[in-house]
Amino acid sequence: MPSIFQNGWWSCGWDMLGNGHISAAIPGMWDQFSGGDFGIDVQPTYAAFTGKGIACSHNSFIGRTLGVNLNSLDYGVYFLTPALPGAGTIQSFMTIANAGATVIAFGYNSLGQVGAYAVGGPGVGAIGTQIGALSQQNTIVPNSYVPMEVGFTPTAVTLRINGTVVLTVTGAFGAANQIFLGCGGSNFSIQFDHFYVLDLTGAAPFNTFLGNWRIQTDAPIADSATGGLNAWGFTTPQGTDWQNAANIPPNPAQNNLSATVGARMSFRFPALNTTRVFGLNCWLSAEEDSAGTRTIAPIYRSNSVDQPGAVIALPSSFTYFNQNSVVDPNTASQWFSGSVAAAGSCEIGAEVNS
Amino acid sequence: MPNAVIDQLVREGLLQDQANAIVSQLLRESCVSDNANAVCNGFYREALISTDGLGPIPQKATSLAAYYQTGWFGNDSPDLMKMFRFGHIVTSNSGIKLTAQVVDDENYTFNNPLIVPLKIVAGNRFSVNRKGRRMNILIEFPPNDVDITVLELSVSYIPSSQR
Repeated sequence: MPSIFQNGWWSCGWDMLGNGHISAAIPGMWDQFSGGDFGIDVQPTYAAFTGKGIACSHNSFIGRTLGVNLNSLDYGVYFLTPALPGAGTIQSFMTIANAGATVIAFGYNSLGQVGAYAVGGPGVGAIGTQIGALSQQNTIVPNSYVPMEVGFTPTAVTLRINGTVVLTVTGAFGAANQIFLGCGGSNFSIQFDHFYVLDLTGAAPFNTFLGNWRIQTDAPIADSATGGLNAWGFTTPQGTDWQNAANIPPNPAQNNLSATVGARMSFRFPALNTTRVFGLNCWLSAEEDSAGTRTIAPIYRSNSVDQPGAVIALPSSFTYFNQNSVVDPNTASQWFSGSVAAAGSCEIGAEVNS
Repeated sequence: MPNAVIDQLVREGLLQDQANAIVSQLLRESCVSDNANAVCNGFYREALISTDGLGPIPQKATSLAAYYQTGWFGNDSPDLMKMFRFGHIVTSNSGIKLTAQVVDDENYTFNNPLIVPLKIVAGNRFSVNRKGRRMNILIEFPPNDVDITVLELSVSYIPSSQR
């Protein structure tokens, strides 16, 4: 598997998935999965802010293989527990792993103290062998969504909650290539939302913790403002490129298709309500419909200036792909330092590449 | 007299031919167009944006429980350090959770008490096993729509030292 990182980051907010249980790994998105006792559920009620989040039941986990061995990485996720575990139980909830083996895992106890562990964790097994000291009591407060960020280096790992370091452990940590989120310990469901991970090769702001972030997912609201850019054929209903692409979850029977090299589809999206945009990321569900070799390339388009993404070789079944963007193609400046309005009005689409 | 006219006469002999035809490879190379369509049925924009201006995340209120916090056990002899051993609670229905707050006026004060989750075991008893001058108990009732009456709640301790 190639590296998942583009411009130094990868993100997922789960908002494009349908409500209900995830029953298996999601091709192209989350390649590691176990339903545990009661599965993993996607619902708006599990969201921090808006959109959707996930609830991982007892012994369930979801994970992402990074496709690259990293000695240093940062990641962030919003976290909520409905309760603290009983006395003597360590509730595991996150694992940094290497090919299914624990590099470092995190859990909390009945007093709300978070600890780091060298054995087990979601995606691996029963948690054990504490590393270093525990955090202060009541670090974990039930029923409150908090942004949680992990900084992983070869010699130290830090855990930040609400931007404050609550735990630092030192050691000799090997390379990591997987991240798991899940629930081990007591029989309740842990909720997650707004996941990002950095390989620390990107330019600022993607070279350190994002701090105050969230992921806003939007479906298209219109075809391109430029005539001729929606040349893909479409099924009816819905009868337009943008409507077929806007189903949440994707509907296999309502799609856009093209075998014409150079044919484009380009979508407009709603304005963004924020003060700053770290970056844009598009997720698309795509396939090729018969034997052959068809490739596409996502394209960002700002003020009629295009920014093609990496070429995607399509498989024969619907699979998620993503392409992010950190620079406004119109101004060549970062979305982070540029106009929120420009980011909101940036069209995103795809072109048949070959 | 009409003539018989023959303009061709050939012999087709159905013979057994002992020579073998040998084909070691037969390939078809076709130069055709690839008609596979690229098909897209979902396209979404994920914007990684700042939370500036959003304020705190609202607390989850989907299952707000009812609580009752008792008065302070051991407050009648605050000069006495006690070993709170266990308690006994009798309720008319099940599903409650208990949390103890223990204060010793040294490491754990009223503003920063030691918080001890309690587990109810057989005989409606719960173990505390913490030292302090006084403690209280927070009763969390289940979010279900059921009646629960607390009939008895007691805490037992062993006097430790006067100081």
